Parts: sequence; C-alpha cells; structure tokens
Amino acid sequence: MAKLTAGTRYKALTRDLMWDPKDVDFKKIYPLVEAEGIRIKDPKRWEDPFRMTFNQYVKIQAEKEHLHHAIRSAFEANHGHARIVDSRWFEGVKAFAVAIQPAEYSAHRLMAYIGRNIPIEAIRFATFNQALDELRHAQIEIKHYAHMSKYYDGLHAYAKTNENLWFNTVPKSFFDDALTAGPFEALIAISFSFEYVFTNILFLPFAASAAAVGDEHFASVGKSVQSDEARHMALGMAALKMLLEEDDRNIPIVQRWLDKWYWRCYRIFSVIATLVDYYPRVRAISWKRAFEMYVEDQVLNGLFKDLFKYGIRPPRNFEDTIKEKEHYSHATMRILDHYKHANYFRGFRLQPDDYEWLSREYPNTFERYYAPFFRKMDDHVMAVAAPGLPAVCAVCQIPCEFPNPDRPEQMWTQYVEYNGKTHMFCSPGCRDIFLEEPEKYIQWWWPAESYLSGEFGPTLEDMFEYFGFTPEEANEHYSSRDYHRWIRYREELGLDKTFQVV
Amino acid sequence: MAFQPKTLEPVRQQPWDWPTKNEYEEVTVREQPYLHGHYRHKYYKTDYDIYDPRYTRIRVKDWDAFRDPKRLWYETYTMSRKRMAEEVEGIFDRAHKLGLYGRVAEVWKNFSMDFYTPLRHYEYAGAVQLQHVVRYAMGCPIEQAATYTAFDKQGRAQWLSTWALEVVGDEGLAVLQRGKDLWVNDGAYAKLRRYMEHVLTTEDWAEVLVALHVAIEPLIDRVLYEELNQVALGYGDVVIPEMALICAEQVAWQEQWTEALFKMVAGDPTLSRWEYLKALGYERWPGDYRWGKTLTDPRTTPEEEKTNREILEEWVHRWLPPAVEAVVSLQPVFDRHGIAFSVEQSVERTLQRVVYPRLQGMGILFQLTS
Amino acid sequence: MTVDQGQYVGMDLDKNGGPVVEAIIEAIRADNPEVELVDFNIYVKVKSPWKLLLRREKVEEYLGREWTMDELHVFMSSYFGFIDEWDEDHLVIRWNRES
Repeated sequence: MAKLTAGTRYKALTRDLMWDPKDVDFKKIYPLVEAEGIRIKDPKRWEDPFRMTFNQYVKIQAEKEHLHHAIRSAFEANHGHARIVDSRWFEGVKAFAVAIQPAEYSAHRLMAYIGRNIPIEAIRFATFNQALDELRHAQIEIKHYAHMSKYYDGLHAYAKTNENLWFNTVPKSFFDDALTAGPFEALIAISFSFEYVFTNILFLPFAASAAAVGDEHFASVGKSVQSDEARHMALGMAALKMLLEEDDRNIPIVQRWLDKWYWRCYRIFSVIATLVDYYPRVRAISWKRAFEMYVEDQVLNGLFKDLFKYGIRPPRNFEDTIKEKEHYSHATMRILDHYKHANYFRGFRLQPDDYEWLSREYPNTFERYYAPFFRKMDDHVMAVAAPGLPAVCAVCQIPCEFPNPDRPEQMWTQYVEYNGKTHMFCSPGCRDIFLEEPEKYIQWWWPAESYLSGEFGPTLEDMFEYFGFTPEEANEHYSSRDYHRWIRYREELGLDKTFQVV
Repeated sequence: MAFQPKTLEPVRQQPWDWPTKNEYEEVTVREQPYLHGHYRHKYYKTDYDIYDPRYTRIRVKDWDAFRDPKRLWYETYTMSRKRMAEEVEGIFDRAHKLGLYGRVAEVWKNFSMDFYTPLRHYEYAGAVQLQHVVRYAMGCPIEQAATYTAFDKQGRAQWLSTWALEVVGDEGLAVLQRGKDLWVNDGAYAKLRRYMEHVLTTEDWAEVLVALHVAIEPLIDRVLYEELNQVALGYGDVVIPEMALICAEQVAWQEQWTEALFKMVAGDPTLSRWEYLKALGYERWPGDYRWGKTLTDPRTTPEEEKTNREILEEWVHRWLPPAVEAVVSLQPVFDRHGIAFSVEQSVERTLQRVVYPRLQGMGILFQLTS
Repeated sequence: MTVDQGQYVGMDLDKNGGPVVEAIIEAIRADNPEVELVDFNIYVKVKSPWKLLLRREKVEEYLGREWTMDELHVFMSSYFGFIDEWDEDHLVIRWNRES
C-alpha cells in the first residue's frame, strides 16, 4: 500500500471532486459566487491546516463525545446542580442557554450555506465539518439545559423565548445578519471575526468560571465545545489570508467586513461580560483581563500587526472597545437589572463580597459610576426596574443604555435620520454599521412593535405565554423560588452540614 | 423517579413544554426558530424569510413532527460512524497486509478502478446539494437527517478515494485523475454526470431529496454497494464487498428516512403552506412587516394548487426516467472490461422490488414505460 | 519594561488531558527555549515569542508511548498565530512579520 503523507492524502481525499459542469452553467450552480465582488483566481492554493478527513473527524469527535457525556451523566446522577457554590450562577447559565445555544444552531445552518455556495472544495470540507460541530454544540448545550430545566425555572420553552423575547433578538439578529449576507461575508463574519477574535473569550473564561463555582458539567460543555473551535479558528484565518492574497481588490471589501463584524461580535459579548464579572460568586478572571489577553494582546497587537502588510488596519471603533472595557460588564448588568422583570434569567442583589471584588478589579469605574445603582436594590429588589418597553439599538438590539466611556455620566446613544425616520443606536460602533447598510437594518424585527400590534395577545399573561415563561420565573434571584429550591435540594443532600473535628 | 425523596423531586418531569420521548427528541424538536427572522437575504430570494415555507412547494401541517426512524443525533451519529470508519480502515489494512489485490483477477481490478473511482464524484455532488437542503429545509428533524446523510456521502467519496489510492493499486494520484477524466469525458458517464448537474441546480429542497434519495440513489447504490458484491467475490475481491456492506448500511438509512418523510408528506392533506403555524401556537402571527418599512406580506404569495401527492408525482415523473437512463447507460463500462453484469436487469429488479413498492406506499402509481 | 504581548504565538491546552497535556508542554519546552506558561486552573496557556514548534517525537519521549498528532485535537482548545505547518510529525505556529 502506497502510504501517502498526510498532506498529499488530505488533498487527494478532499480536492478535485467537483468538476466544471458541462450541461449547465457554472453560475447556475453557484449563483452567489460573484455577488459580493470577491475575486478568486486560484482557490486550489487554499490550505486548511487541520487537514481533517471523514475518518479522523468521526473518530476524534466520538472520543470527545464519549468523554463529555460521561461527565454529564455523573453530574446528573449526583445532583451536581445542588453542589455548586451559589445558585445565582444558574441565572447566568440560563442566559447562555437561550442566547448562545440557538446561535450554535444558526451557525450550523449557516456553515452549510457557506459550504454550498463557495466553490472551493477544501473550504467546503472544513465548513461542513464545522456545520456538524455547530449542531454538536447546540445539542450538548441543550442536554445541559434539559437537565437543569427539570429542577429550575426559565428554560422549559426555550424555543418560544428564542423566537419572541426582546432579549433574544440580540444574538438572533447577529446570526440572522450573517445568514442573510453573501457567503464570503458570512465566512469572514463567523469563521474569522466570531471564531478567531471572540470565541476564546466566550468559552475559556466562562468554562473557567464554571469550574470555579463547581459546575463541572458546564465546564465540560465549555471545554468540549472550545476544542472544536481551534479548528474553526484555523478555517477563519486561512480564509482571511486567502481572500487577501487572491486579489488586491478584495482587500477593501474584507476590511469593510472586519469593521462591521468586529463591533457586531463585540456587542453581543456584552452579556458574556456579565457572565464573567457578575454571575459567578467565585470568579476565575475579570472581563477586563480576559479582554486584554484574548483581544488586545492576541488579536489587536498580535494578528493585526501581521495583517498590516496586506494594507489591513485594525477594525473601526476598536479603540472604543478598549475604552469600554472598564465599563462594559457593569453597564450591561445595569441594563439587565432594569428589565429583569421581563426576562427569563434573573438579576441578583449584589453581596458584600461582590462589591469588594468589583471595586478591586475595577478601581476606576465601579464605585464611582455603578455601585450606587446596585445599592438601590439592597432595600427593594425592584427599585431599579425600568417602566415600559426598552428603547433598543437598531443594530445590536440591546437597550440604548451604554454610557459614553469618555464621559460616563452621559449615555452614548446616537441618532440617525434615514428615510424620514429617526433611528437610535447604543453607540457610534452600531451607528456606523447602520450607515453602511441602512436598507438591511431597517428590516429588523422589533418585539415592541409586535406587542403593540396585538400579536402577543391582549393581556400580560398572553405576552408571557408568548415569551415562554411566567412572571414568577423573572426578577431577582435571592428572593426567587429557584433559590429556595436550591436550598431545599442542598438540605436534602446534607451539603450545608458543618462537621466538627475534635 | 419514585424512589427519590420528595425534596429532591424535579419541578417538572419533562424538560420542555412540548413532550419528548427520548434524547433524540430532546435535542431535535423545536431547534429551528420559525418566526421573526430579522433581515431578508441580500442576494438570494430577497423577499423570503430566513426559514420560509416557500423554499419548497410541499406543505406540511407540522414540520417538527418528522422523526428520523433511526433517531440519529450527533452523539449516536458519530459513535456509529466511528465504528464504520474503523471497520473500513481495518478492511483496507488487512487487504494490504495479506496482499489481497495480488490474487484478484486483473480484469476485475481494471474494471473496478474505472467504475468505483469516477463514482466518488457522484457521491460528492449529492453531498454538495444536500448542503442546500440543510440550509433551506424546514425544521431541525428533516435537515438534521440531511446533514448526516451529506456527511456520509463525503465519507463514502473519501473511502472510494482511499481504496483507489492505497489499496487496489500503487499509482498514486494518477488513478484519481483518470477517474475524474472518465467522469467528465467518458460517454458512459455522461448521463449520470448531467443528472447530477441538474440536481445541483434544483432549488426546491424537497425536490432535491426526491431526485437523490427516491430516484437515482436506490438504483445506482444497489449496483455499487450490493449487487456487484457477488461478482467481485467471483473474481477474488473481498475488499469491495466488505466495504460495500458498510456503505449499504448508510444507504439503507438514507432511503429509510427519506421514505418516512415522503410518506408523511404524501399523506398530509394540508393545503396552506402557513398551516404549520397552528401546530406551533402561532396562529395569531399577522405575517411579516418591519419597522419603518413594510415588506411584502408573505401570505400574498399564491398558494400551490396541487396536492402534495400530485407534486411528488410530478417530481417522480421528472426524475425517475432520466435516473433509469443514467444508470443503464453505465453498461459500456462493464462491457469494455468484459464483466458480465446487466445494469438494465439490476435497475429493473430495483424498480420492481424497491422503488415501485415504495412509491405505492406514498400513494404514487408510477410505471416506467420502456 | 513591559513585554510586547502581541509578539507571542501559542495555544490553550485543556488540563483534562492530564499526562498527555503535560507531555505536550514538556515537548514544547524542549524545542522552544523562551516558552512561558500561564495557568488558568482548567487550562494552561503555552506561549512563545514569534514561533512555536511541537514535535510528535518529543511528546512520545515524555509520554512514554506512541502518540499521534491527531490527539492534539482533543486537548488544544485554542491557539493564536498562524498554523504554518502541520503534518504527522510536527506543528509550527508563527507570525509572518519580523517584529
């Protein structure tokens, strides 16, 4: 048997499988290939450094599944949910559940779209591996929530919540934006901007937090998912390099996509900032440090210096993301607390150790700008609830309540007149994205409008039914039935007994 | 669980508000969002929603009601394919160590190279267009089955390549190059190649499934992965039949779930493509509109006039005759190598034993008139 | 003096890998004299200025058994830099610029 080297073998198995069609027009098979202005001369040069084949894929992934589901089974059998250090963590897990899990599923459909429409075979095999990976992520995450849902609130109608709740328009609109873009933009958006620049900060710090609070199952979800991401990052990097090297005319197009998707990714990570800084009672790392390490060091100072030779500059508004790092989690947590009465994951009353940690990690901002707000909840948990419907950003769809990092006592909200209407944005970053493609962004679905039009039904109960949870599942954690359930589970298991040693 | 202390009892027995029977249903049902997609495509079907029932002509009262008869989800899929991958590697490895192809008749060796190698392109083209199905099909249960089927096809294309490269001979990449040359330029493959090119330009995702899994694949896969086994053994080749057994396992599943799907579709009397909204509890949905701009109301798109069964019938009429022709026209490859095998008879057997009964099960009466 | 963090390439390894990850780290240390480790409890960041080389042979030496580069997929959670070379014997991650 003529054993080939890994490289030759990989090429033989994944290339030259498609042919130039003879009886139909190439453009009928690939109707989108020229739509975005990207020019490809010699796509055969493109290399996927991971060189995964079918056999390798199913063997490696089955091994990962085996390892992960063993941990899951042990966690479930042993009531791991009762053993974590503080149940408020679950509110963060719920946020992750209904925000990120559907995003994984969208990414699954999206990667199939990219692979189908970009006529480059090596990319296609890598994107199709990723299409499977994303389905995997959606499913191992949903298995975690399926178990949680039997013991706690908020998750039992996650599909409706994802379809109809104001909060879920944030991650949903992000992936919908990519799903409706051309295939090359979608590739850069997800494989490069999302996967290379930002997923580290999604899975590594959050998995570390999960381990720190004792949620072994979620730590395993995070790590097992992230082990696929290294492959997705390689795809994104290789795709970016290929587009930049294929034709100089691609460079300004790619720059525009990097500008857009850097900020778009960054904004949906606002909630992740609270999952790192607020929800874990034992923190593994702060958002600020994680951002400095994963984004500033590894990407802005690392990768973008390497891209300079192509004429690529760091993404527009990147300075704003650096300026905002000391405000981001606090401003976002404040938003979540404003609307926690209409959300499926709860806010919580900060505890003395929280004030201490946040003040220490954020000496320039927390005490001065944010602690007074959180202290208002000390007397009454609903003291900070905002009445009415939030005015949300027309791009990222988060309520427009981010402070201007240069003048934190003022809001950063921006306004643009377009087609006789005033559109509102949370920040210059989102405003700039709108200005590039206003016709796209005026199509966003705004839940408040559906609500006012009567789609959600005549009563408040109808509205919550549409959201997929009840008002009792919302609000503040330490005064919630979930907290009392958790205490009861712990009592039954004897977890809070203290033993004397004589 | 009854033996649990009361204080540890779960607050709900079912994780979701919709009933699920098993892990497959837990991770599959209601995965795809059906409403409130945010934007319209920039370049393709610019007036359609992200998940839109208008990507196919068939209508179903509940898209989430479909069940894969094998209930494959990611865990069970990768576990079963890992076993298959290891078996195939074992077959190839033993073939190499035992020098099996040294004993195989030269005539069969030459034929099998010319026959199996070009067909990796057929498997691959199917995988490519199934990715279109994965993107546009309605609901996770259907597209999930298409996802794994597409991956299986990529896998079979790779197994055929590995076999040609490393097992049967020692020619290296040249052997694959010759296979592609045959696929593109040899008259015997022209009709099959053309068929696959038409599949690649078919937009209706359900029609793609008919063209692939109802029409062409049952015919050709029976030859490839079943009926040639005895012939191969006659020439002393055990490698192809052993690999074919594993491929046939995948193929059986792909036909099984497609049959289940089209039985469900053919028996569904639903006339409005918006009917499924009721099953989801969204009968109040007023159609789509947007802040600052009114998009065309999707419900103003005229409804399909034919029943599902009539549509399926139309597709079968469109795809089955050229499928039969494409497979039968492979005969010269056998003849020029002197392999005694009648493709026409094989196709006839498959039509009578597999395809027609299956169509009858969907209420479709179809007979090819020769 | 602050070190330019942007010069590093490297990878994040999942500590669930136990002895395998330890052997990978030792192999990296052996071939990359300026390597630095940062511990994050459940994973460890291994970073090296400009270039990082990992060789299968070295991993096998520290692990004491046969090891394939494929096993890296299970435990390499993330990386930074360009993967320049990856075959059955070695992996090179690097930046393309000089400084």
